[in-house]
Amino acid sequence: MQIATSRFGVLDALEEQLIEIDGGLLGFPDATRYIRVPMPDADGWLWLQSVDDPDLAFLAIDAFLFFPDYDLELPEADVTAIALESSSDADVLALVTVRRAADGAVESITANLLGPVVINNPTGVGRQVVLSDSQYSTREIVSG
Amino acid sequence: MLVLSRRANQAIVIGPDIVVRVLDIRGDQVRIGVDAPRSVAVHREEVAAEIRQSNEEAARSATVASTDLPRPGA
Repeated sequence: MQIATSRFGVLDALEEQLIEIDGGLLGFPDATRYIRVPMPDADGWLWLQSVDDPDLAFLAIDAFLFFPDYDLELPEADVTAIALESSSDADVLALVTVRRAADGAVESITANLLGPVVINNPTGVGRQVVLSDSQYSTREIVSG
Repeated sequence: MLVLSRRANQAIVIGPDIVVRVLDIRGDQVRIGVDAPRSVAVHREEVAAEIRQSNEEAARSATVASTDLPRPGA
């Protein structure tokens, strides 16, 4: 299938590459289908591009690659919702916000570790998880 | 919205298996106990709101060159 995007032009994707985010990302309930667009030359970085909205894309990281000590306990409601059978089946992504100064220079790059996007890889079904009583914030500094 | 008045130790029941009980009232703070199946997600409203705000900001922050991005473990 072909996916129109405003950032990457038209992408070619197979149905099985699609990710179905159960309920959508918080604030974006109508966009439930995404595709991963890896970032060239940037290990661990990718875009989550909406299939439903060409303008909607989220920069994301492989959370454990950048935060090896990330302590993630998935609520059972979420595990059930995405039918996750083993932690090794899960991809854990954190959505990233880049803030720029007035002159355009990158001021800060932060990742949302309070609401990770957990994807059941074999099925392609994922969910944005709300970690209610965690020590993490939506603005954890991403450094190397 | 359905509004129910409850006193400390009284509860409301939602559906067959969710009980929300007022445990304690002190000044303007109320302790609430939620008894729900583990398959039901229960969280504070403001945590979800914070994540929603973060998503909206992330969706706007958009483009960045790969050279501006930190490398893992660097």
